[in-house]
Amino acid sequence: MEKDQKLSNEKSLEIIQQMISQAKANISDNGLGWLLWGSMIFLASLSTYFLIHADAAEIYWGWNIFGIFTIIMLTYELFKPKKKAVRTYVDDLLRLVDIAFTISLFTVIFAINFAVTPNGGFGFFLMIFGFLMLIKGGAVKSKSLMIGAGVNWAGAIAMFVNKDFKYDMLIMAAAVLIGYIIPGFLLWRKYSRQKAGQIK
Amino acid sequence: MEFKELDPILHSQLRLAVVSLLISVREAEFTFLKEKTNATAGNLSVQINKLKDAGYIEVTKQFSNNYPQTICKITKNGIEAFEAYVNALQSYMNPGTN
Repeated sequence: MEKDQKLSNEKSLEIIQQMISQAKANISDNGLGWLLWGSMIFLASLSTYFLIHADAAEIYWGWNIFGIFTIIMLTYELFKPKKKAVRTYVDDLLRLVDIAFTISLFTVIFAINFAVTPNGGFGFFLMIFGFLMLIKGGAVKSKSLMIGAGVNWAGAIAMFVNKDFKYDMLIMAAAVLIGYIIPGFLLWRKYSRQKAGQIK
Repeated sequence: MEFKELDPILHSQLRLAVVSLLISVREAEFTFLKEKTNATAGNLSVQINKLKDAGYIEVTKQFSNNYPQTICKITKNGIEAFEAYVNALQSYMNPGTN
């Protein structure tokens, strides 16, 4: 597109169509975020299960480490340089979803510490995880994330019904394995293949 | 039958391409526009200035990680002009329907 050529009407329409399709949001996810967060939650849940099983005095070590990790990651996210050459309306919408998710997460953490018992409160984590998985799964067209959303909501109900906190932790570990870790791995594999030019 | 006049600012291959790209996104860097339009930096820069002077786009120059960054964003006037341009094109393509 070098010279300022005279345009026919057909050519004008062609340019408009071509450019709009070029600018279409091509949302991708390398899956690493799901793998990283999923692994942390998975390990924190399992460690709590085993600490309860072992009658340990302090059972929340895993979650305390997870909390520190969360603060470090959120600070990094806030200050890391933004590299994208284009900002779409979908980008803005997904960013709002992330903000809403983070605020909801901290609201649940507050509730568990000050208002409800862990047994009554941890199910809310899976409820909001499912919310994030369905939206992000729809955005990146990941069936496994959308299935993960359903599994996490089912897990949330199971946790609300179950009265033994120890088993809540097992349910949570299973839910994040299916909802975070497996979809994260599949997204990472797809992204790696795309990068290597094997699939479009 | 009356044909609407085509906006001369938009009736140019590169300027129309830039506005068509910007209509679909919130904002875009100069490098993105250059890549998508396959234009040279010099030509693109000239056409962006013409669109800016017409009030169709906003251009912000800033530094990101010590690199200069030019960010373009369509204005309300730009959106209206683009819509009017598309309507005018339609009246040419389908005479009698408008």
